[in-house]
Amino acid sequence: MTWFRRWAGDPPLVGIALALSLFGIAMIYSAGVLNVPSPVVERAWQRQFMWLGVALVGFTIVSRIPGRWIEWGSLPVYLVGLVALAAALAVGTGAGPAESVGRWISLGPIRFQPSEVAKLAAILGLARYLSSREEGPSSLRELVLPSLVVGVPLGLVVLQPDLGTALAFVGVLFAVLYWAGTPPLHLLLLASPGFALILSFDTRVWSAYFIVLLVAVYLLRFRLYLVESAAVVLANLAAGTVALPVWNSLADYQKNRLLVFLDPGMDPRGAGWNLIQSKVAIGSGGLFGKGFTEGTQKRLDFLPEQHTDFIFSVVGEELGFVGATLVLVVFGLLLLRLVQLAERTADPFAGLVLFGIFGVWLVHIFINVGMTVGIVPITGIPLPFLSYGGTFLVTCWALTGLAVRMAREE
Amino acid sequence: MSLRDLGRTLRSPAFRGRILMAGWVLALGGLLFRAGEVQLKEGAVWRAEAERQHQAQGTLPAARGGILDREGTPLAMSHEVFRVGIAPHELLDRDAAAALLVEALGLAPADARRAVSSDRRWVQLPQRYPPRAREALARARGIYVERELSRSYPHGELGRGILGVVIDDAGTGGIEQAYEDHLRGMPGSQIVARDSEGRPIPGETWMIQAPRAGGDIVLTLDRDLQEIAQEALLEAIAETGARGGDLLVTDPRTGEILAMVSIQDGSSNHLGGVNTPYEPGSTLKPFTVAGLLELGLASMADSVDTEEGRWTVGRRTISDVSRVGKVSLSHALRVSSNVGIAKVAGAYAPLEQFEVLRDFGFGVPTGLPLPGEASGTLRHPRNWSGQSAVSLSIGYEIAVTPLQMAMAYGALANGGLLMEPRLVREVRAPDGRVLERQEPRVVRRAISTSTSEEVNRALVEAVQDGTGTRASLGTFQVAGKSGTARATGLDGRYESGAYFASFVGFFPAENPQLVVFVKLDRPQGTYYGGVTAAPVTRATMEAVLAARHPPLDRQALASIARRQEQELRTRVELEAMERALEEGGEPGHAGAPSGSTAPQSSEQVGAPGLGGAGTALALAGDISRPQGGVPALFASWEARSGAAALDPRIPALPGSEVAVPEVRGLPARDVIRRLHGLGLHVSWEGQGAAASTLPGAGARVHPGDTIRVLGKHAAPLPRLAPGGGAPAGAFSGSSAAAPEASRSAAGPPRVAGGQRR
Repeated sequence: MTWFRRWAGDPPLVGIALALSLFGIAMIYSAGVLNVPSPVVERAWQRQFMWLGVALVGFTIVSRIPGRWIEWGSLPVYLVGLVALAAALAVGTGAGPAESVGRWISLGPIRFQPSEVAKLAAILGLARYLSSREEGPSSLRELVLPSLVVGVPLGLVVLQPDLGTALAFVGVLFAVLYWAGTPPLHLLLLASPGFALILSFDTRVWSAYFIVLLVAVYLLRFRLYLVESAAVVLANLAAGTVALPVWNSLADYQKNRLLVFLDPGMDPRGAGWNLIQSKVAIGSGGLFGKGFTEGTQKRLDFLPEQHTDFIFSVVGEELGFVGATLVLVVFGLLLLRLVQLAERTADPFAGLVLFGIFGVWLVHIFINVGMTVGIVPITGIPLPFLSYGGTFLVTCWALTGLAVRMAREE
Repeated sequence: MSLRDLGRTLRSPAFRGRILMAGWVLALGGLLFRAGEVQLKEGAVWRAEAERQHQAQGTLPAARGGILDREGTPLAMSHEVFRVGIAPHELLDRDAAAALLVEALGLAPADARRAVSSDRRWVQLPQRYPPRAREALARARGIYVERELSRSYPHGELGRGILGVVIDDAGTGGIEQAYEDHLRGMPGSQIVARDSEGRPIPGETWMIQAPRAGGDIVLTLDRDLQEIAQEALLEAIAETGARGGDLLVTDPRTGEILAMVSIQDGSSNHLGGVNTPYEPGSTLKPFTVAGLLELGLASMADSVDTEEGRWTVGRRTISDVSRVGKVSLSHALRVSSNVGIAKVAGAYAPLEQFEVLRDFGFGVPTGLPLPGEASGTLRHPRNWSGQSAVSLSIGYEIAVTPLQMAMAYGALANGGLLMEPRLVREVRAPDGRVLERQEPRVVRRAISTSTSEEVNRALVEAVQDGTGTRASLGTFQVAGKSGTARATGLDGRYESGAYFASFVGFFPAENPQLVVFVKLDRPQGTYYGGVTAAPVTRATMEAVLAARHPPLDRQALASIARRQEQELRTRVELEAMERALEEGGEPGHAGAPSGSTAPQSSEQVGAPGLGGAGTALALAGDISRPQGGVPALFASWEARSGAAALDPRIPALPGSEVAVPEVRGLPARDVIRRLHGLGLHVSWEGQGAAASTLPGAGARVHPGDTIRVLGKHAAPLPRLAPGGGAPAGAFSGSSAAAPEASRSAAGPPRVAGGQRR
């Protein structure tokens, strides 16, 4: 086991990641066991297995890059990430169920998703910027630049459009900013335009919210600069008023996903299908599930995207509440280990990177599992280590390698 | 701790780590809580929803019972077929799939290609395919087969009116409807797993209740007779230009219906025989006379003045076709004198007349288990007009169904018992057990045996030299009566120039075995029943005798024939003795030695006065075979008028050789009909149109021989497979060897198992 310890760097974190990856391959295999076989899904587990090999190589490399190099390389990586995102918008191609969406870039025989690289870039960029400062941001004005560091790639991802992945950037931003010492109040104010956007769908609710905001800004008048207060108020006002144009600019499937989340029965055979079928699959699994590969909803082709975005539904259907709980507990341990590592490290950059990774995975896990059980709108975001997908698995393992590397920083 | 300290603590890295950790644990808790809610609290709901989505309760069709003829030949049967569906997207190799469809289902290559390359997710082939196609397709990916039960009638339209049809899994009309509950069985149910496209998943089915097959119904019908009857009727309709007609063959001893065909406007999907009453006319006269005799109101010898064929009662004048003057009642019946019968019937009290007809079953449904049976009309005397008694006596002002008429004649034939008509012989359980065997049932005694004999004698005479001579048959005496009645249109009024021509006969007159009822609806040209319907009766009887397995008591027939031969021989010997005595020579050797020879031809039997003896002289021209004992079934029997009585339409002169006709290329039905018509038996091998016969066309054979017909396709038809045997062989039990056994090499090859009966 010494070799494992030496190779892994941090056996708990890597052990968990490896266990999740292998479990994921098993579930992807199960996802391919259908009554009316689909050749593509049937062999997905074999490809995922191959991808895991690639990912482990990637992990090995990333975990051995000297920490200084990573810190120095942050800016170039960040810029490469932005260029890749811009390129995806310009020449990207679609794949799988989102064929019309340009999320992929082909480099010779390799196709990858720039948004995955961009996550890494945003984490490194943000950590680099914040670690270069003595103190954490203590005013709203100081949050503008870090917000831009994440906001630019986020905006490019939204333009793809890929709402789910965009949320991962938000996760990175807030987790890292909080760890950097930003007062929670400022984070709330930073997030306030987002609330305004969501609440603007009901004018009365938005109006009430806006009054509360004005009162809060007034109460905080001694802790905020006037410009900051004005910016927050204007941003909320703008978010409230542009909500409708923004809504109209959304793609139909995005609108549907949101609407269906509010009322899944609206279009049970259409947009509501995924949500209902996922709940049917998980719900019918009960306490102990229907048994590995035995899920009827999956077998009979009722469950959509069963090997990618809805892999957790297969877990829920076949392994029941017990299996779902186990998976979530393991995910919980994964992130807790990240926090532990972050707390241990004395290097600010390392801690910020670890929390960036924490933020990405938290958003992915919460939104993916949340959508399968129906507490979050369907956003098409994969589950780390479990969902089928080469780029995503490699990215997850690269982030693991990064985490292991950063944890070693003194 | 001061507030400032608290603030510092809140901003410390360790605390921030706790907060983020707590936030994560909270988020996880939320997910777990929701998962628990969905999986545990709402689990039952989602499980039910899942089952509703992918489990469909399907019914398993129960195999419908068959309808068999009296020999067990299926007239209606259910068999499995398959429908084929294709999911083009699931095909791995479309070309291979197309080739498979072409090979297994015989699809046109273009259609197959179109089916497999469709953009649709599901392509259902329109046809139904036999089970053997299933094997090849079952393993193919993307091709799905679905079982279905289909009703088929192996003999096409034969007996369609009686059998009915199955529409939407429900028997409609005929036996299919009458015995729906028994035939249908109990459909089973199963749970079928479906995928999101609604397609059933092979192998994912759970039986809830197995289907219970329906049982068979065995009819009294005889397939051969039914076919004979249908052909005879079709031919008669074609020849006379009639609009339609009915032909019934029943067994007077049991009331069994052996054949029943009704054709109207070219369709045999009719039950006119039981649901369409008509005015019978003269065919009713025997019952008028029988009642008079039974009640002692008249005797056959009573003389009646037919008054030059016209008789005015009240304001109505009844007329006869031919004038016969003063005759006996027997003669009046024989020549069907309206005046004579009507006059004698005047002896009836109205109620007596009504009851006599009612006792013969008129005006009352026979109780046949077929939907829509009509009772006919026989009015009670209190509803009669002044003319009713006279009308009724000659068959007007009464409506009867052909079946009622056949049953009433059956009562004359069997010694006076009105039988309940039987169409169903047995009701069988799916496993073949007989659940119910319907025995012959006597409704009542209509007349005494002696009365029936007296009437029958007159009816024999009617065939011999009365109105029904064209019904006369070779060997066996036929009794019968013709009738010609004006037809009523839809409005109930008589149509001018429209007639129902009918003839009801039974044979052999002595101990009758068959009643044949023939009615033609509006024959064109000569419309008299004796001219149009009587030959049909005779043709039917002839064909029945020539059929492979007629439901006849051959021993009885043979003994009748033997006795007739004996009487003939005795008579010839007596004459020879007389001649010898007259000539002073020795008696004894002029006649035929017993069991060897008989008169060689038919012309020598003048037979004057024989008819009166009640045993008709039936002389077989072909009884001179070496074994001798059995006369041929077809013998020329000559009434006093000699050979002229024979209708030239009879193709096979009795006893003579016939040439095997050329039947190549003809459909089976026509072939059988033609060969039957020549008095030949048919043994069919293979399927499809006739390809050749053994012996070949033009070969000389004898009536009664079996001709082997080879169908175009080699597969043997189950019911015509070898083993049927030559019916003539059945005679060997009562006499010497089968007559055919001695036939020349030109004769057909013998088939084994001839002693089926």
